[in-house]
Amino acid sequence: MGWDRKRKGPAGGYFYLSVRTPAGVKKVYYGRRTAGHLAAAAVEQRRQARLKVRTAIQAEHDATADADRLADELAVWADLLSSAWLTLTGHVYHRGEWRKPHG
Amino acid sequence: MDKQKQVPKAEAPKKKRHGSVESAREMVKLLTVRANQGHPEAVGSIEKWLEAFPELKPECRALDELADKAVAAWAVSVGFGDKLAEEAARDEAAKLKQELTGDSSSLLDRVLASTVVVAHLAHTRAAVMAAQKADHPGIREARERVLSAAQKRLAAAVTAHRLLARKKGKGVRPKAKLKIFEPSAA
Repeated sequence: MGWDRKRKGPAGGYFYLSVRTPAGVKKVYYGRRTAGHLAAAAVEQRRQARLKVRTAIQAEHDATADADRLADELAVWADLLSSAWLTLTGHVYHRGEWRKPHG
Repeated sequence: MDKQKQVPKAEAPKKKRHGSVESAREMVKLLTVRANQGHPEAVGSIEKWLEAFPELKPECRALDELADKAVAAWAVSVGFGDKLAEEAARDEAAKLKQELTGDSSSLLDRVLASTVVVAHLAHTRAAVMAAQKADHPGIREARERVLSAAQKRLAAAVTAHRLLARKKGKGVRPKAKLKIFEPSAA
């Protein structure tokens, strides 16, 4: 939720936190003093940690992005050429597998 | 009402040279789908397209190059910046490919073998990454997802390679003698 600035309230506003409960989302009041600032810092800390994790995951993904693209392209070709070979040898793709019809 | 996916009717190539490697790929893909839908004329068209294919030496070379590039890229990834490990991965990949293709191989054999090699290297990297200590459970979960996907890709590549090897072992061959499926099409 964050800092909620009321029309006639202090300029900094009051800190509220949205909390999920079995009954629904509840807005918890922390105020504008120490409790509010501590809650805001905790929220920011969690946000930074999430961002760090996302960045780390993305960096690991990016490290193999080019290799992944080449592997995907090769897999498409392998699938295509083997499908063509199986089709030309009289096989039919049915329910997830290549079968050779009898007769 | 025919519930099967409708695929546009594809004609066989009139000339030997007919566009890029991508267009040839799309055409053979469409024709394979049509043949599976029970259109016998599509089988003849596939033969004609593939017959023309090895004449397009650049396309065959492009596929071999694509396979080499993919293997090289994954060898670098498996090395994690260590040149010696990279070299070892490259040697292992070459050995595995040789083992899978044998001395005499067609373009199809080489592509299938390279797919297995690439999937093996990708799986090795994913397994190493998953075994490393993660700072956060989210990172560990992401690595496990990558490992799971790599395992699936490796299993699929090995299955495809074994399926064709088994069929070839039984003496199954296309009726038409196509250069693309004959040894040393490169």
